[in-house]
Amino acid sequence: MLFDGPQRKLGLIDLPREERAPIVDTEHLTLTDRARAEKVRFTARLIARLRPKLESVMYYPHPFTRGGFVIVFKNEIKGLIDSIAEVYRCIPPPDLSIHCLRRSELFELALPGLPLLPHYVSENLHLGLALRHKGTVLYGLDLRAEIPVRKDFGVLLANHIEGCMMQQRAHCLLTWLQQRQYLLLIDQVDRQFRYLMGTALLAHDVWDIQMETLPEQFAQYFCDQPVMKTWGLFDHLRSTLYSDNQPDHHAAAFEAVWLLERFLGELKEYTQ
Amino acid sequence: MNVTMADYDNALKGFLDAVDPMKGDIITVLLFGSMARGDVRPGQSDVLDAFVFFEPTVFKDRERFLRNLEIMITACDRLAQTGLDYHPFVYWENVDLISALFLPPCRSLGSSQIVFGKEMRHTVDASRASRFLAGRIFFASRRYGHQLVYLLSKPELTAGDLARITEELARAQKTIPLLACFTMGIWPGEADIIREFRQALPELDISVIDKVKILRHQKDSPDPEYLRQLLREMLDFVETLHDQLIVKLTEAGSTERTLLPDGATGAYG
Repeated sequence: MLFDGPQRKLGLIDLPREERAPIVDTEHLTLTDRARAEKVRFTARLIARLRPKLESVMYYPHPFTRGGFVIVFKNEIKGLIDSIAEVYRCIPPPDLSIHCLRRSELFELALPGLPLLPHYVSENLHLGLALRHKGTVLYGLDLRAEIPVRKDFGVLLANHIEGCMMQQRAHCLLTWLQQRQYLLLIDQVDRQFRYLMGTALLAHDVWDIQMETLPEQFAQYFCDQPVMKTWGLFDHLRSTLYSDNQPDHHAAAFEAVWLLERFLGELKEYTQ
Repeated sequence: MNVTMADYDNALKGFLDAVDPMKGDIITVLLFGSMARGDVRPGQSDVLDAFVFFEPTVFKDRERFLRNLEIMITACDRLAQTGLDYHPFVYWENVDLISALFLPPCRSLGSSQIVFGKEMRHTVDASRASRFLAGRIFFASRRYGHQLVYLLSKPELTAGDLARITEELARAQKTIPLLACFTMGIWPGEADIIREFRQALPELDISVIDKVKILRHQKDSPDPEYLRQLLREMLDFVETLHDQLIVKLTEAGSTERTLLPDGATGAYG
């Protein structure tokens, strides 16, 4: 299925010659348009350079990041590193993830992601679902259904909790408390609460989430669970952080760590 | 700063002194990494690879937890003040189950030391979910490595680029053989990782692992183009390893069915 609906929206359908990038009047673009135009230019360059090797180019939005591209090469392609080097020569838009695989390797996107360090977000848990339901095919075949959707929610959540304990405790909680980076720490704890909520909601088939409204979505399914009370306490702590009555960021940071630990413990019990 | 072994010994002593007030709540303090193996490279090795295992009840009691957290921060302060390259230790609430990624050092008597409390290295294990994760992370690591490919053709490598390549090569040298073992269902002790890895994949050329090991022991800054070449070799090595793992898993049945849990839907769903 070459050039179906989604890429028509992006303006690739009328590409007159494969080496020519689409004409975009950047002067009159909004920020969203600019992001879209960047995607279009990158995709056009990809097609021009790599067309014989490509099976598909897909884009996915992501609730926690700016999303990214899944670039699928034909199974018979040897020397994937050289092809990936070509992808980078096409100047990918900054801050967008790039996943390069052969078609037969697409299932690997459903396997666990790296338990990453602070400031990094593991996209893996929502990548497949976001691609399948909200993603677009920018070029070539629609292979979105070839990425398996995992249903072992208990394992997904247990892995997330373990990753959080292994990485956040040492590299974020202790590090930033020791460096007296209290506000940075509280902000990171807030993010961790939300990432955990996002994973917990997958057990209820809720994948279409947004960072800002995640707590409300979470409350719909976990209102009678202890985790909601713990989140409520953290939310209150955070909301009073910048008021005149709360000058003691040291105490607030320690309390935030305690509440995250309590939340992790309660979620762990929930998975069991 | 002229760093000696004594600085590392003092760092450990200072750490143990600092955590002393919470010993009533600690089951075990386990040291791993170069300090436990006895192969510290003064000035290059960091502090402190350690697990502090607490009584699980500490995590149910706010006052107790916060008291211990304050003490842990004091211990971190002591480590930070040593002037050595420092990162915090891990604290954990279950002496029986840890992350499967840490089983090799924590179960190897030669690669870890109990510096306080109960001996637990013969009984510590990981949950099924944790082993599932550890057995599949190789695939995400491979894609993580793909992000470095742009450095192969970058005209001028900056100091930051060179530092990143060095760091990522060291990380790959340490973790890729281990993660591949996990993928094959092999759970080696830390000292046996390379032997088990070679044994499982005898046809695989792993010379790049040795080259990076040598690089890590060099005191002089390596030539940028040599670093770039080594990065290329490592990326190619991971690709070849990936393909061999897939072949090996396919021999045991469907790769997807072997790696994905029951109930995943997609290509075969």
